[in-house]
Parts: sequence; structure tokens; C-alpha cells
Amino acid sequence: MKTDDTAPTPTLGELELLVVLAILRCGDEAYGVTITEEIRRRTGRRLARAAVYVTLRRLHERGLVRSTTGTPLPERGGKARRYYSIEPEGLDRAQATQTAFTTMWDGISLAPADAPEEHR
Amino acid sequence: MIDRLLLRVLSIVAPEELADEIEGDLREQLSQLKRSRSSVVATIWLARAVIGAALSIGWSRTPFARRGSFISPPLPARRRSLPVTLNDLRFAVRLIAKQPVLSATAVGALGVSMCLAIFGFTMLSSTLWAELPLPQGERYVYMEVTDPETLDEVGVAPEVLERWINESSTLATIGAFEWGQANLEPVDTEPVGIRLVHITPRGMAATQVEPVVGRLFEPRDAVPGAEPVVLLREDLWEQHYRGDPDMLGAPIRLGGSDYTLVGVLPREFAFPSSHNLWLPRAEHGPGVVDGSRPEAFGIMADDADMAEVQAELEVLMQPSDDELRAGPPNALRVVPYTRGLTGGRAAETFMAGVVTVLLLILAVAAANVANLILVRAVARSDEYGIRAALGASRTNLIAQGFGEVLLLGALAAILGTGGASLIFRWLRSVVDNELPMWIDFRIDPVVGGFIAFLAVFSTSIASIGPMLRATRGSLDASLRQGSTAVASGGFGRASASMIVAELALSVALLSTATLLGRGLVGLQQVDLGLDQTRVLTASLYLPPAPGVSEPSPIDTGLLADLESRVNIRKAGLTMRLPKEETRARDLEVDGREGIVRSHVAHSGLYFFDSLEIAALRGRTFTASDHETDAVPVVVVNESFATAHLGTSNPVGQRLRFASEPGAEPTAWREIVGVVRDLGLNAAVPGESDGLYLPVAGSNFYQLTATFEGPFADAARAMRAVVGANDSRIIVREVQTLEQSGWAARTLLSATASGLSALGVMALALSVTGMYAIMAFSVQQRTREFGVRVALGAEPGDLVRRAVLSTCVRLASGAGLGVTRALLLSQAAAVLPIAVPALSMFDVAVVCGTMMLAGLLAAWLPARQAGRVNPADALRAD
Repeated sequence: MKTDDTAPTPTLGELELLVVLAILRCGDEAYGVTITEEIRRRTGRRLARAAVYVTLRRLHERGLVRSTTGTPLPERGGKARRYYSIEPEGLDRAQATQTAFTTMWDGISLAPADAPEEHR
Repeated sequence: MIDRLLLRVLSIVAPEELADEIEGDLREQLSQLKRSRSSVVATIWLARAVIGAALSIGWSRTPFARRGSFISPPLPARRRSLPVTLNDLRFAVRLIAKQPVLSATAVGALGVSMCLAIFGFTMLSSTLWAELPLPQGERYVYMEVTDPETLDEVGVAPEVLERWINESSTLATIGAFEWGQANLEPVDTEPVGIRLVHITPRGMAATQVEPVVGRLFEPRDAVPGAEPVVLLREDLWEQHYRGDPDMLGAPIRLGGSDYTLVGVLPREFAFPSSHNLWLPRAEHGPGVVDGSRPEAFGIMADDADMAEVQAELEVLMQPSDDELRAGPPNALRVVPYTRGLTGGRAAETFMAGVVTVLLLILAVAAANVANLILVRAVARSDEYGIRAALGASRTNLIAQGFGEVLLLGALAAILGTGGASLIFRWLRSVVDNELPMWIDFRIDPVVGGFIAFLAVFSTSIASIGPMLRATRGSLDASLRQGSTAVASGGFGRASASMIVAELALSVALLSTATLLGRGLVGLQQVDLGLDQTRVLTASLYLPPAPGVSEPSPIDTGLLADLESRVNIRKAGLTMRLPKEETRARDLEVDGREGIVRSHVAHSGLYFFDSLEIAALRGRTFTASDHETDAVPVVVVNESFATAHLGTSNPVGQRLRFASEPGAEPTAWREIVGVVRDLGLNAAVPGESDGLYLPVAGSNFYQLTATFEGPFADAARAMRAVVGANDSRIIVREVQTLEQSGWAARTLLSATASGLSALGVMALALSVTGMYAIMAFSVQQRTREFGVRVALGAEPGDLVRRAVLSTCVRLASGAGLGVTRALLLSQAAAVLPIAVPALSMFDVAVVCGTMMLAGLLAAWLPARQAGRVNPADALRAD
């Protein structure tokens, strides 16, 4: 019988993975604006702003990311930036998601059947 | 400016922390944008961004949004909206339309219970907490003076009242009044007995009532030797004097004397509580009747409160040494006026007890409705599963359930309020002149608050429990596995016990109601062996004359005057009419062992003769038997002779009242005659043995007279003779012997109807609860039934098993109920009339009805379960 120790690490949803990767890419500068911009710049997807915040909050509630508050800035109307970074659990899940995708993609070619042999 | 407004939208839809984060980010981007683009473009961008975010966040906070988003943490208190949203109420309206029978049952059960609770509370509130509807009504106080030994209210001693009036500084005005009764004798109509009040002129003036015509009393009206004056209320003035303004200054005949009418007061004025005729009374001094102790009230001075009034009046009440020698000083309690005149603390405790019982009845009704709601909630568990999967928390679901039932509760509250208002209207029409002027059905803030409390109270009981149970466990599982995953606990023991208790209650109440009903029928059908339609009866009362504290007896010479009238054959007097209940007392019969208990009636002059009843043996009373120094004699009835004297001749035997151990024995009385049974215990003809004692010298009698010709003529002749004999005698309840005993019948039928109504309600609730339990368990076991039928079980067998378990509950309920009914029938002994013992037939009829209703409630859902197609049951569930 399987126990919890041997159970596979849960994976992340697509949007969750995008946000986690964007946080990793932004490093110390990961907050709402830069995360949204990073995803847009790299994938070309214009995500709904609220979707990013909701995802960030959900990851935060599940202990996959942590947040810290910066210094209040005048151009933000006196509001502070909320910076995000990844918790080890979040990294494990991102890793598990990548492994799951890689494993599933292994040996699959999406080249059309009538394509030249070298492309199959 | 526009930017700030736009950003403000976020703080409305999003939790505070999130709103701050998004707003900061948007402001930062906006300031960057403004550096490269125009302000207009930047603002349009901001508008799009804010609206987009607001819509997404607003949606994510609805119960339909995905679960696990940030809606779960509690919102800051300042933004928390009502626990029940308009959406919930919309669902509720839709549900009522979809399930009209269930909704009507719930509203009906809650509405009837609420009606009773609202009526009880309004009585409590308007009886004890209402202000007097007069100027400065809230400042009126009543001085409750009690004897410290007997705790009886004794009124204020004249010297104390004088000190209060002369020396009190905390009371702006002090008034005093005494109740009385007298015959009002209008010129061209029959005299009417009315309750009047003697009131001090200053007390009357303090009420600031404006006379319709004339004036109020003045101090000179109350001095000895002043012209006797009277004030009438508008309704009496119109009814008996045609509202004639010329009557002002004219004499009005009252209790045999003439009084000058000096003023007419408005019809809504009924001071001190429910009176409509006033006479002046002196405050103190020579105009006060010796020994009279009036009741006192006062209006507090502007700067005084009740504690100060109490403290001051207590000091002023300190008796002198002479007064102290006369006995211990009386106790004083200053209370709000309305409370003082409606029974004070005892009445408050009693009525609060009644309201508590009515609230418990409502709680029982709500618990039954909860069973119905649980059935509905379980049937909708798939829907809850979907909502939960879309992000609704358990709290959301419970709030939605609460909102749905709240609408039912609100409808029931409206129904209950309407019902209570109707009961009040009926009460006013029946006992208008008996109800104090401040008792009325008004939805003031206190009553309104109570009605709202009832709606929320019953809704909470009826909804939260079922919803907690219906949303217990994994709602996802309910979607995957079907509704059996939800609420697998089913109905708890508490529900089943409640049903049993209700069944017991309904058996007890209905059995007792049947019992009283039989008593009522017995009372109406009693045969006295004479033509009851040819016997005129009337109640005669001679109130004490003004200035005399001891009443004088009614002059029996009026009997001879009555018999001199052509249409009255014989006239006599008695204390209790045939068919009226008489007291049973313990007796000893000379020469026989033991104590016998029998009914005792007091018979006045010529009672038996007036009914033209001859003695079966010996004789009836003669005039000399009623004299004070006569030899003590009794007349027994036939049942007494048979039951207690055997075959021996009763005439000449002796009996006496049993005395307390150690006390002086009472005198022996000789039996001088035997008469036939005359309804000494009309409700239980089998136990009507009793005896008659001669009585004389009373100021109260029941007149009995056999008459010829039309009743109205005889009644008119009787009134004329009584009036001519002594116009102060108050004549009431003029009717034939057949109609007499109305009060007893009314009491009996009102008690029987009340118990029947409660019993039927308890039965309806228990049947509803039983139906809910059966429907629920059938719903829960549909899959099981399917499997059993698939395995070869007979559907009929399943139905039988389900019904059998209900039978067990019914039987235990009936058993408990019979026990309670026996106890209740014992309690019926406190009624002023006898009721027959509880018969097994009554119990059997009630139990049978109840069993039939209960089995039907169980059989219908069980039959449905038995018909289920196994394949469908397995596939669907």
C-alpha cells in the first residue's frame, strides 16, 4: 500500500507554473507588475491582471511562495510593493511539474505524418 | 481626481490588503505611462485595468467562483455585507414557488405558534410596560399598600393619604379613587348595573382630560352636603340619554338617588382603568366615609424619580404611636401606574411564564420545520456540491439556507402578527369595558423588535441545524457518489424523541379536550324534571350604601311583591342556580362510620317552591328554617339518600360537617326532607349527590321565578318590582333557567377549544415531523432498497418494515400521552366545574386518530420507496 512518503509531489497548474517561473526570473524584483510583464514578454500572453494576483494569493495561502513588503513609494500613492519569492515547497512542485511534463513529452513527436523523415 | 475615483473601486470589491497591493502596482504603472503618454490615454488605461480587476475579483468572491481563492479568509468587519444577500432571498422566492406545499406547511406551523407568542407578548408588554395614554402618562405612579402579614393590598389609610397630599414634594399631584357598583336608571330604559369609580377632584383634573361638554369635578363637589354630581362617558351618554346636551345639569338616577350630570368625558377616556361613570370623593376630612381606604396614584414632579417618591412616601407613612398600637405598619411599593393596576409583579411573573411557554411551543414548531428543511436540503445536496466546487464556502451555503428559511420565517411573522391583531380585535369586542384603556395591539418598537426576534429565532432553529448537517462531510464526494454521501447520519435520536414527545402531547391534550367536551354536552343536556324555559333567573346584588362599610341584606319582602304580579307564579332565592357547580364538603352521618363527601348548596327563601318542586319525603324548607335562631336542618337530594343513607328513611336522621382534628365539632343538622336531583353536579350526573342548607340575610342572591306569558314581560315585571323594592339592587344576568350557567359553559367550551386547538397543532406537527423522517430515511435508503429488491426482496416487505418502525414510535408516543392525559385530567379538578373522569373510549378514539394519521404519514413515502425500480435506484444513486 502506498504511503504519503512515497506519494508523488503534487504538480502546479499552468498559470501557477507561469507565475512561479516568472518570480524565479524576476529574482529580487518580483512583484505584481514585473511578474505580469515577465509572463507577457516571454510568452506573449496578456493575462488578466486579477488572474495573476489571485494566483499569487493562492500560492501564498498554500505556502508555495512567501511575500515581503518593501518601502512605501510616492509614485505608488504611498503604497509599498509586495515582493514575492519561492518557498522550497514551491520549488519542489515546479520541479515535479517540469519532470511530469518532460516525462510525458518524452518520445512524442508532433510532426505531421507526411513530413520528411528527418522531421519525424 | 478621476484616477483616484477609479482606484477607489478596488477598495470596494477587494479585501483591504489585496486592494492596497493592486492599487500600488496600478499607480506605479500609471505614473510610468503618464511620462510617455497623455493623461487621457493613461486614464483610459487605468479605467480598463481597474474595471477588469474589479470584475475578476468581484466574480471570484461569489459562491459560484472557483474554490480556494482568496474569498475564504474573513473579510474585514467594516466591509462585511449582510450575512444574507439579495441573491439568497431570490433563491428563497423561487423555492417557495417550486415547493408550495412544503412552504405552506412551514409557514402555517410557524405562523400559528408566532401568533400565540406575539399575542402573549403584546399582552405582557401592553399590560405591564405600557404608559398610560394620557399627557405625562410615563410619570404616573401607583402606590401599592399591602398588609405585611396577609400580603393583601389594603389601600391607603386616610391619615396617610392626608400626609402625602400635604407634605409630598416628589409628587406634583396625588389622586385617590375607590371602585363601586350601582344601578344606572335611565328614564325610559331598564336599569343597568355598572361599575363606577369615586375619584378625588384633583386626581381627575390631573388627567388633563377635556370634557366633551360640561366640566370636570371641582373641590367643592366633594365637600359634605354638596349637591351630588356625576360625570358620564360619551358612550353611556349616547346609549342611555341619546347624547342630549340638555341633560347637562339635569338629574340622573343612580343607585336609587339623583345626581346632577355636570360633564361628559370622551369615549376613549377610561380612567382609572376601564370605567365610564365617575362620582366625586373627598381627599380627607369629614367627607370621607369611615373605614374607607382608597387606592392612590400620583404624577411625579419633573425632577423626581420613582426611588425618590418611594423614599419620601415611606417616611411620610411612618405611623404615629397610636396608629402603631393598632397593628404593624403596612408596606408601600411605588410602581409605574399601569403595572400597579394590572397585578404588579405576580402578573408579570405569570405572563412572562406564559410567554416562555409560548416560545417553547414556537421552538418545537421550528424544530419540526427543521425536519422538513433537512429533507429538502438533502434532496439538494448535489446543488450544494456544485456550489462548493465553484468556490462557495460552507458558511456561504449555510447563509443561503438561512436566507431561504428567513423568508418563510418573515411570512410566518406577518401571518402571526395578523392573527394576533385579530385576536385582540375579538377580545375588545367581547370584553370592551373590562380591558384597561392602555391594553391594545400596537406594533411599537418593543413589539416590533420581538416580532423580528421571533422570525430570526425560528429561522435559526429551522435552518442552521439542517444546513450544518446537509453540508457536513465532503461535498465533492456528494457530487461523485450521489446524495447519500451527504448527511449520512440521518435523523438523530433527538428528532425521533421529539416526535414521540409531540405525539404524547397531542394525545394528552386531545383526550383532555374530549373530556371537557363531554362535560359540556352533559351540562347542556341535564334534565331537572321541570320546564327550564318557564323559569326566570336573575342575579341580585345590593352594594353597601354610601357611607356604610357593612352591606345590608336584600329585603325578601320583594318575593311577595313579585308573586303579586299576574305573570309571575312563584318566586324564590338561592345562592347557586341548578346546573351551577357547587362545592363538595366532608360530612359525618350520625350513627354511621366514616366521612362522606358530598355537594352542598345554600338555598334562600322559597327556592323549592319557586321551582314548584315538592319533597319526595318529608318537607322542603319553610320560612322559619331561614331564621337565625332556627333549629339547624337540611334537605338532601335523592342521590344522597340512596348513596349514603341506604334503605332507611332519611327524614329525621342527622348529619354534620366534619371538623378539623382537634377543633370543636359542628352542630348536628336534622334531615327534614328529600327532593329530586336538581343538577348539583350537572356535568357528572352520576355524582350529583348533595344537600341544601337554608340561608338568609345575604346581600347577594340568585332569583328564581316561574312565570307565564312572554319572558320579556316577566323580566320587565321582575325589574320593576325589584326596583320599587330597593332601587339600589343591581340586577344582572336576567335569563331563563335553560340559558343559565352560561359562564360555566363558556369557560368549559373555551378551555376545551383551546386544548383542542393546541392538541390538533401538536398532532399536525408530529405528523409533519413523522412524514419528514420517513421521507428522509426513504431518500437515504433508496439505493439500499434497490439492492434489496434486486436481490429478491419483496417491495411489500420493505414497506412493512419501514411502517413497523413508525408503529413503535407511535406506540411509545401514545403510551406517554395516555399517562400525561391522566395527569391533565386530574389537573382539570381546578376548574370551577366538575368534569367527568377520563374514559378509555376517549383515549382510544384519540389514539386511533393519531395512529391513522401517523401511519399514513409513514406509509406514503415507504410505498414510494417500495416502487423504486432497482436498476434506476442503482444507476441514479
